[in-house]
Amino acid sequence: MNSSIITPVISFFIYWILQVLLFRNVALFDMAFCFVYVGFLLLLPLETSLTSLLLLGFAMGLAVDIFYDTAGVHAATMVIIAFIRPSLLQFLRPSGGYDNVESPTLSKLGFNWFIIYAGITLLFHHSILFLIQGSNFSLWFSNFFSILASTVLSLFVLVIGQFLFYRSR
Amino acid sequence: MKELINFLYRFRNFLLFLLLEGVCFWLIINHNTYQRIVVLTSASSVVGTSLDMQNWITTRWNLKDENERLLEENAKLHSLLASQIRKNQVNDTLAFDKIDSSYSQKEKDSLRFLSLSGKFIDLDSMQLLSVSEYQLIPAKVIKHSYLLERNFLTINKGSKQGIKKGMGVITDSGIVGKVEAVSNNYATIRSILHIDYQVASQIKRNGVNATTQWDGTDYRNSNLLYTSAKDIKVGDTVVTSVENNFYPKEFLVGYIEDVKFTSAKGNFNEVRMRLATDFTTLSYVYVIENQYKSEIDSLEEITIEK
Repeated sequence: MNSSIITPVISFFIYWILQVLLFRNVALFDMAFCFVYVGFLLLLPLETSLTSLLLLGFAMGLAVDIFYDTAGVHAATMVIIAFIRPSLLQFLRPSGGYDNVESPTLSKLGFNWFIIYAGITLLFHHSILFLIQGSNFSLWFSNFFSILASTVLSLFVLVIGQFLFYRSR
Repeated sequence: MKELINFLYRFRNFLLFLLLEGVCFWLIINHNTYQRIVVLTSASSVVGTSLDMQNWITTRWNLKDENERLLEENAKLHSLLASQIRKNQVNDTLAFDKIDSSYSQKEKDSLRFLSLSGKFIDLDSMQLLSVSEYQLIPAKVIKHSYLLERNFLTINKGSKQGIKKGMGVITDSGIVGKVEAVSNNYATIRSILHIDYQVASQIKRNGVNATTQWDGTDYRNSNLLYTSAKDIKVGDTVVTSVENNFYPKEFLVGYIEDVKFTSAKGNFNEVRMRLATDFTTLSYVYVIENQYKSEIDSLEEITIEK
């Protein structure tokens, strides 16, 4: 079988298991949550078609939803993130283009670029997530801090992961 | 026709996007329907098993069996004790009624109270004693959350152990929630920390009816709604209503912490209470099976039919 299919499947399960069994239990100061599973969508190869992105994002979101008992909230968020990913990559295109770049990783595109790319995506993701989840606009203020804190925490974990596991590729 | 197909093909991703979002929002809006699809909840066997495994690793495994054994024993003792109390109550009532008619009703009442309190002093601190007509099924919490707006718990008992949808769930300190989805070996519980869940409650001191509903902010506190009566004080105990069939009657919910009489909701008060259950350290719960519930239900059905 083609390794371009196997690798995403393996990474799907790794991110999923890490999220639902490990990072689900992380909540700093009762307000900062850690949603590293977004990294799966973030780091898919550049040539991945939008159709695959949407379907993979939906699958990942639903798989996470099942463990959180949140019924479609994460899936809806992931589908939106998948939909805007190509436009975001286009928008952040470095001056040299994406030549010789398979996946948008830290080692290929640099620390600053990755922070901006992952930061924007995570901020989008967390904002949409809290917006869909929150039914009460009076909670918006506390949610606002939660969104920022969670974005910082998730970004931190993703960057650490980049240094640990994506370095040599 | 060809143009239409071309058009659809060009916008296929956008259409797929809309379709998937449609599915997601259908799931979000029809959450109650969704809970019926047990495969998609944490009660499903795959999810339950992996949560169980995770729990097995994270709990101190050498204490696990011992813990469970003690819990079973506790449950048995509690229901035994409770049935004893009920018997005593009945006997005492009969005895006192027989004694004579020279005592006034008030004296009789105080005597009865004394005889009861002599045997079992503090019913409040041993709440489980009062749940005599209920069978307690101990279960272990393998997943719980309290920081979301709609919180659910997952327990390691399911339909095989007699858990059914709608059963109430308690700990020895207070109420926890109700069973929402059940698979063979696992069940999810809608926590009282769920913004769409209301529990019929009352003030213990004077029996004023109210409704407990969480507002999604702080897992230590909850709102008490629809209390029009003015006779509510800080420190009052809130218990489950006598009319509910899911929880033991007058079982502890929480304590009133703050009362505001000027509320935007017309005559109703704005009451905050501190929940009796500590959701941060929840590890074992009791699912309660009301042995008379089917009887009550069938009686009610007959009444309605007539």
